Amino acid sequence: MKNCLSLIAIVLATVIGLNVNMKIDDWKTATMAVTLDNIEALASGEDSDTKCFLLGSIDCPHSSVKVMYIQ
Amino acid sequence: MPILGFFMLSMINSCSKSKNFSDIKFPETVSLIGEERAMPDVYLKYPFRVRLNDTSLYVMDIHPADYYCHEFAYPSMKYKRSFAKRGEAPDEFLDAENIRFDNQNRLWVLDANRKKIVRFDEGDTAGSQEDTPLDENLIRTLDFDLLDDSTFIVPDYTGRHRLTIVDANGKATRHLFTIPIIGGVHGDASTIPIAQAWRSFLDYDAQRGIVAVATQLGQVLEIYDTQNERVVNIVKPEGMEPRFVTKGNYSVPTGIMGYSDIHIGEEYIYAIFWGHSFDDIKQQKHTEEGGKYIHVFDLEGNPVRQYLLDRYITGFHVDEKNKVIIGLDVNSDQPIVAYAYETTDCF
Repeated sequence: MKNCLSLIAIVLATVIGLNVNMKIDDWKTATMAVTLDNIEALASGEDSDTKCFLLGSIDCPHSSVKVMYIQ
Repeated sequence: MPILGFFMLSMINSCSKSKNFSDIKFPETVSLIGEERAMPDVYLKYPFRVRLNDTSLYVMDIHPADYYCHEFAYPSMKYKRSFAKRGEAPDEFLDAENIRFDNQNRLWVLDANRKKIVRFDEGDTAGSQEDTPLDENLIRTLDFDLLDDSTFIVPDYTGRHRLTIVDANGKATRHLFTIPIIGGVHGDASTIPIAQAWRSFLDYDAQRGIVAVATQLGQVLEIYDTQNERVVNIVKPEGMEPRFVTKGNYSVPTGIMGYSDIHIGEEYIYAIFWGHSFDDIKQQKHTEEGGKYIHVFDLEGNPVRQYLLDRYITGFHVDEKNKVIIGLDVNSDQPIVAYAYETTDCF
């Protein structure tokens, strides 16, 4: 009985952990999409394939605003 | 059975962790705990450079609301003044890349977008005193240091050379070295993306005539003897040089964030190392900006030790006399952090 309860507790903890992880990932993705849109509009060039995202310390080819990464 | 459950949970957690990259073997790793220097009067969005000059601490913010530079009394952190106003007026700044002191305690600020280096005298609140417009043949000069009170050493994006000496009028007078890429760099338009990918920070030691250069988008440390025009060492772990793809005339970095600040001391060269891959950054596995490592090399480029910090920093001031490193933690509302190394007497 004790072993059975331990097993149930472990399975429950695993499922809850996975669920929370997935929700956090969804939230991060949604937040990132909004933020990226804002910065992209600020720092992308009209005549180039490159786009700059988020505030950071990298020199962006299209903008005086330094960014986190370029794609 | 419970052990199996904990093992599964550990596996799930480990999947979300990211990897730090560094291929240099340091003889020792020393962990340092920082002490915040509370700064209640000024909000800094993204402090990137810090200089201690006697009892004044100067901090440069690269994403400011109003002013790029701020002066505080140190160690009290009492606010003294702000300068280098952001704006488009002739005496305002579009950008600030670095701040430096000359031998007369005058502060110089590089504005890459206006292509000039501007001097402020000590305690000056009225505005800049002198502008040095940079040579039109230089493309995006993103760092500088002073050779003496009126001569500068700078990198740029032309890719034709690694460093350029600029005189008091901003004119390029001498070019030094080449980007240490395999096969060399040819002086045509295709070299610009290479120079972008090899964007670096530098520090010059006037006493020895040595300049140390560290790449932002890869893990390369270059040490040059400017007086004898000699390459002292290129510390370039295999596969860690800047990686990039070219889109049009632009370079898109695909490797890692490498170094973000460098300092030559009496015996050692110090450099802040990030080690975050761009894959991890894009996937938001690394949300903190800055590096947790300070790599320490001797003046020949041999690894001596690395400091492992308790937070991520972007820029630093190394006070070897008092054995304190003042770092900038952009991820905190109180970004000024002091790290004592070897002794704790100064706290």
